[in-house]
Amino acid sequence: MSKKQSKQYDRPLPINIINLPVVTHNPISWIWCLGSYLKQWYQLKQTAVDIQYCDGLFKVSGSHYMNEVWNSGFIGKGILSRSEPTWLQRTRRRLGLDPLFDERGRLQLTNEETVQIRREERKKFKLKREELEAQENHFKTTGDMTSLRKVTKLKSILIEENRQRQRKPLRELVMENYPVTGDKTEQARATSNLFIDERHIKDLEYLQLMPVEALFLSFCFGFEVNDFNLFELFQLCMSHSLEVDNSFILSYIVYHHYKSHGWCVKSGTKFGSDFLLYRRGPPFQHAEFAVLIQPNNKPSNSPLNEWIDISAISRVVGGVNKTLLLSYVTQPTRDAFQQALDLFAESPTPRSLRNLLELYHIDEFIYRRWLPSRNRA
Amino acid sequence: MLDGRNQRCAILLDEEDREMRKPYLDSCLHSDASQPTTMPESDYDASDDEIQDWSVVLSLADQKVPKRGEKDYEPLEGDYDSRNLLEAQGAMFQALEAKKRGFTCNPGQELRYTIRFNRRNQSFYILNAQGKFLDSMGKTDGNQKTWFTKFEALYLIERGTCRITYGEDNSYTLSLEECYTVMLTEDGDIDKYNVYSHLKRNGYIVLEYTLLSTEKETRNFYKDTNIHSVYDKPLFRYTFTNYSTIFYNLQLDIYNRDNVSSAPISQLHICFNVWKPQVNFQKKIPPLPDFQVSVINIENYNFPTLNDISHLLSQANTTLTTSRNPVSNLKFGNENVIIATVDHGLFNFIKLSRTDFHSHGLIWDDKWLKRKHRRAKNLQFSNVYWKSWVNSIRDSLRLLTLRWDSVEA
Repeated sequence: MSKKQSKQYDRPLPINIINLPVVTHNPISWIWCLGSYLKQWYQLKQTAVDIQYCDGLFKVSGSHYMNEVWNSGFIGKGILSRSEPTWLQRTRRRLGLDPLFDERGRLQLTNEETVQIRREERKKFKLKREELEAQENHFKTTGDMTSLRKVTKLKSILIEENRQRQRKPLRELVMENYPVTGDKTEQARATSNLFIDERHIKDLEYLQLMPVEALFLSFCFGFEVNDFNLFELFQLCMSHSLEVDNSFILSYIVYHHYKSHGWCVKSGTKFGSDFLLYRRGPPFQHAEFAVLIQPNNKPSNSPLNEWIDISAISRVVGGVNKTLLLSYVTQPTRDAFQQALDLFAESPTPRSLRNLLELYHIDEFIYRRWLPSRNRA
Repeated sequence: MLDGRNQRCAILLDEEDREMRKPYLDSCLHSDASQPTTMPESDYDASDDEIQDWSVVLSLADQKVPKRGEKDYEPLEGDYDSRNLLEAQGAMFQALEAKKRGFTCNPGQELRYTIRFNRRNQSFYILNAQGKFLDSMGKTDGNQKTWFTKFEALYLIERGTCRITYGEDNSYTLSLEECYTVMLTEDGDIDKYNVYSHLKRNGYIVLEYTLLSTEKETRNFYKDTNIHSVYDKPLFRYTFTNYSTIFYNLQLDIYNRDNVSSAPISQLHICFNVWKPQVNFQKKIPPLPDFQVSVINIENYNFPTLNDISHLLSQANTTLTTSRNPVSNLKFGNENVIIATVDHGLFNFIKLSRTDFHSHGLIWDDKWLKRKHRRAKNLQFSNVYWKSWVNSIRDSLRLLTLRWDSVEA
């Protein structure tokens, strides 16, 4: 993790705080502290970003607002990017509007570009290795053992060299192999209505939010979605079936539970689960847990399928070094739910939504495969 | 995954038994011989599939057989592959050709290794029993009789340690097939026995489940009391000086389990207490078990519901693994139970542990935002600088030696 990253992602939630200096025994530091507090309090700006709801999607547009939301807890996904909204940056680079290095000579690479460079490196290595393996097989069939040994040696050198190359800083790789400026011909290919003027292009990207994220931002931080009030938004997320076992409310409970314990929660569809839990966030480390929501009364499947499904998921999750977490959500009775819901409809405040959500309970279990041969010592 | 039947037929049997099972045994042999080519390639724990490695047997016989798991991705032309395969097959056949196995003991000691089977009350005992296996099996009473459970008795017979007769009558020894028929009478017995013998063969100490102590070990999680205040307006209308407070404010009261009053009712129960292999095991006053195993046949049961799991865990009491890393503790959990799922003789083990993200506290740490002290930063820089030098020197040395080797070759 670089220093730049740490500074960029210094808000785990979309809210600004007052940073107090260290207080010591020296009375001057008390005054200093008070002064700093007042100064920051005066400057404290809490801006809520507006979320648009259209075509069944929750959107945040405008690159400033997108970054605001993404940088504060990694919420949402840039629809033209892998996760962080970087389409504008990448496109400007491709069209030759931005250089690869900034004025202080630092490399400015987006995640996607880094991955691409690493991938190309790997492809080259694999081609070389393939050649050597073909030779190896040839000598195996002809039975030429001395040549076989020589080729195997060459292969191990290649692998060792590749390992060292992987440790090289990205900057050196880029200097060696990639053009520093963008391609002018690309510019010609781009459609003319992409350009606002010579130097600027339109931002086509927006940040898409999961319904749970939209409700979280609105419920806790007062973000406005169109001009819905909290109850209308809740209704919308539940797709108008206000039932006690609605799958949205179960996943919201789980989302909120982990989010409020400081975890960074992202969608877990990639690994066959409901959510992924990161300690701090995707740029910092890999996810630790994959969460699978287990409702209390599931639709009855054939017993075999259930075992097979969960075993399959655990294999996938285990294969990427994450821990499978089963979150059992216990629902309240229908009456209690209806009562709280009516109160919420009457006064659509965060408080009454909170009362509704607190009717539920959560139990957490770790699921992992156990092997007799591995647990003896 | 493990095929109990397959294993069993390798470990049994005396001569006539092999005759009887020949067709089945043959099919096993062929499926085994083809194993090296059908093993999954990318499975990260292929080594767990305990298929007999026959080359071990031949290691004394001075023959070269390829090691398991090392193979090429595509078959080669010529006889390079098939030769290796044939050698492996030959090793297996030779191992199975070995002379018959059955009940063995020192001459004159037969009676000490003879299990008496009382048909009327389905009990098993040995008079004046002797042997290493008594360290972890059987219960001796005042009349010099050592009593065994049916699983223990069957395991001893299957292993060839003991033989079994009806009562005190020494004239007739029951065959293994007869034992299976008369002992595994209840529903699910065969599943439980499969799991039992598998764990025993892996060296574990296995006893029938009893609740050894009601005092549970609990992990000392960091606890935070009075964590949330109720808010009526969105949080950003307030002023905070750190993020931890905001997180505490966000927490919903949904983990408090006092309200869940209904006593869990479930058909599942724990079958075995299991200890890791150890010397000085005292079977009369055993320590807390390391694992507790419940056997479930997946044909009959769904994946456990919350009730099932709570019920199982309320009976469970095992030693806890702890780590200095708090997140690892979160992964090990508090109470745990192992579920052995059985599907027609194939079995898998699953470990379910209750964990609690709330009492673990926040994962977010306000220290992550603290700027590092200037001196510390400089120090870190020089450290990194130094490390990169050492690394590059080491790397070039390694490459040099590799190249030198290749020149020599």
